[in-house]
Amino acid sequence: MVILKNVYKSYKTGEVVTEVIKGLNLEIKQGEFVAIIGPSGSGKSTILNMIGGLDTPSKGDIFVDNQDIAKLSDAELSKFRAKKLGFIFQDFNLIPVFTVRENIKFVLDVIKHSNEDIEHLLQEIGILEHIDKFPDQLSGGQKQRVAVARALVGKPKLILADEPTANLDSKSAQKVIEIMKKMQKEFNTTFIFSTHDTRLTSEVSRILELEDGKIVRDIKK
Amino acid sequence: MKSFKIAYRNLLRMKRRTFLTASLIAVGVVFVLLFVSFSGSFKNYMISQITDSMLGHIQIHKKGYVSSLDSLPLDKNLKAKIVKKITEKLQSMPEVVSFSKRLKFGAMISNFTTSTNVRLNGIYPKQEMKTLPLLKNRIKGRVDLKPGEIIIPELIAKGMKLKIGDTVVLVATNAKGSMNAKTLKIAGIVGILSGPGGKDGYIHIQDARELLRADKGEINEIIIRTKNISQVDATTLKLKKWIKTIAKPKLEVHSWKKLTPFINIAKMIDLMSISIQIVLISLVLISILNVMIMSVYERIKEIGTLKAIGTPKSFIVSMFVNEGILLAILGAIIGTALTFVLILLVGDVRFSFGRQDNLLLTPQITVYDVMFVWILVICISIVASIYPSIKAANLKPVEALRS
Repeated sequence: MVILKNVYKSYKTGEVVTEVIKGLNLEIKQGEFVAIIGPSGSGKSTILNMIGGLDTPSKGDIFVDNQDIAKLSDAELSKFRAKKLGFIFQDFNLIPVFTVRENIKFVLDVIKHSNEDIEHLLQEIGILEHIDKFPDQLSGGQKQRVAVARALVGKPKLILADEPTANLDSKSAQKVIEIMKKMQKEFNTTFIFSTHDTRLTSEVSRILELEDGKIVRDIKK
Repeated sequence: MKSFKIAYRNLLRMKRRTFLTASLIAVGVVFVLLFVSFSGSFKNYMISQITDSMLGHIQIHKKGYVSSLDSLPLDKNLKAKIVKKITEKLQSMPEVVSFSKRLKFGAMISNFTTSTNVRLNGIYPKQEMKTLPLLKNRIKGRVDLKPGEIIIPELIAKGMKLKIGDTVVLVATNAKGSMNAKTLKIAGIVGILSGPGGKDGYIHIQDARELLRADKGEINEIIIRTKNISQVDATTLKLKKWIKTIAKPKLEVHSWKKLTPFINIAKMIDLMSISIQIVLISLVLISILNVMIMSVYERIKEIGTLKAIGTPKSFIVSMFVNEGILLAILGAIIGTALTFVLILLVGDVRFSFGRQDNLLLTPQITVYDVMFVWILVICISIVASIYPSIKAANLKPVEALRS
């Protein structure tokens, strides 16, 4: 599903070049539930951004669903993200002027699908009663569930989540983890997320530990 | 539609900012519409006064007459034969509602104790009143001038202490240099009007010919009224083409625009109107550009999210452009409503222009004026929104999400 071949990423600030990812090689199969862990600045988010086509590697190749994403144009990348990827952010990043229903429907509009049952999905995730509320009327946990629903609604092959439980209390975090696992089983969706949360790492099928831009441990359960 | 919904709700979310920006646009709209309404009414009023009570829409003379109009020359009169030809042509033109023939000349007027110079029009009263429908409004007394009667200018009536019913003597020199006099009774007093002919008196054409010992059918001016003042230029052109077919005498055709200095004031008004519109354009441009740039900076993360979920650039551009358009429409609605309220409150305005007093100005706004301002405001809002929206659409998602 995801293959990284000898990937490097460096940032230049003034004259200073900081190498964040140093020669990463990685393969993640379809349906895997993978956590990337590591200290702050170890490159977790950078890896997710590069897999998601939000950022480009300085060197190396990234294949997602057999597609070399470095070769895609801006517009092609947008289409690729819309059809094949789902994103879950630490800060939820819902569109504040849209209701829960509209936030989810928006993804369907972008990929030009209109027949998905949003209400059924929200029922499954347990926030159907909030369907017509705006994000600022929801708790953090509810917002993140909406974000999960938004990521799932287009039935993408891969979901990338950047610290999805970081801003949630234990109960909400647990609920979000349960939903993600359920969806992964139901649709065989690949989940890759960065996290510090041990509640989450205990639920995953594979842990990649990152240190100084390199994978120092790859634990498969 | 979705981008309109986002735009609309974002404006609602930022109520105070939306209101302030829309108010700024509204102020500009009010300025333009008020100026257009008052200056337009003034311009139309003055043009109507000049054309409908003095000059007519178009005039025909012998070549060189207009350039020597100040001396009211009699050696540039049109003879009966050519007048007949012109009359036939004008009668065949559907765009010509009516026309009137005049014999203009200068004379000396005396009340038997004092005398002064006077400019006079020898007229066919019925034709003159039909061609100049507002002339009767300027006349105190009788307008159906008969032979042996005169309508004298207000200034002369005041200066010589003349009133309706009094008798005056006119003394005039004809084209051959011989003098003649005629006693006439004052039938009316005509109010003054700015511009050439605004201080002229009127006598019956029969009296004018007698006084000047002119041939039957001899005149020196034909004034023409078209169905609509907007047809003036086309009709003038048509007549100019036609007079080229006449070998002798050489004629000249002038529209009212070439005959009155008021056209320069009208041009000044149009120029000022353009200046006010430029102020409006600047107001809209700056306020919308400012708001849109702020909006983009405030919503960088939202833009990053939209890009991450694969939203096309065109959607992001349209989202911000639509926001600018909605702001402009809101400002235009407030501005137009305010203008109507102000016009209702101010109502009719009385003013003086030159020696004319107590002129009544009724400010009016046409649908065309409102549409023009609205289209202008909307177009400028699109221009102002383009830069920030393209900036937003070109943001790198990773940088936007990190902000």
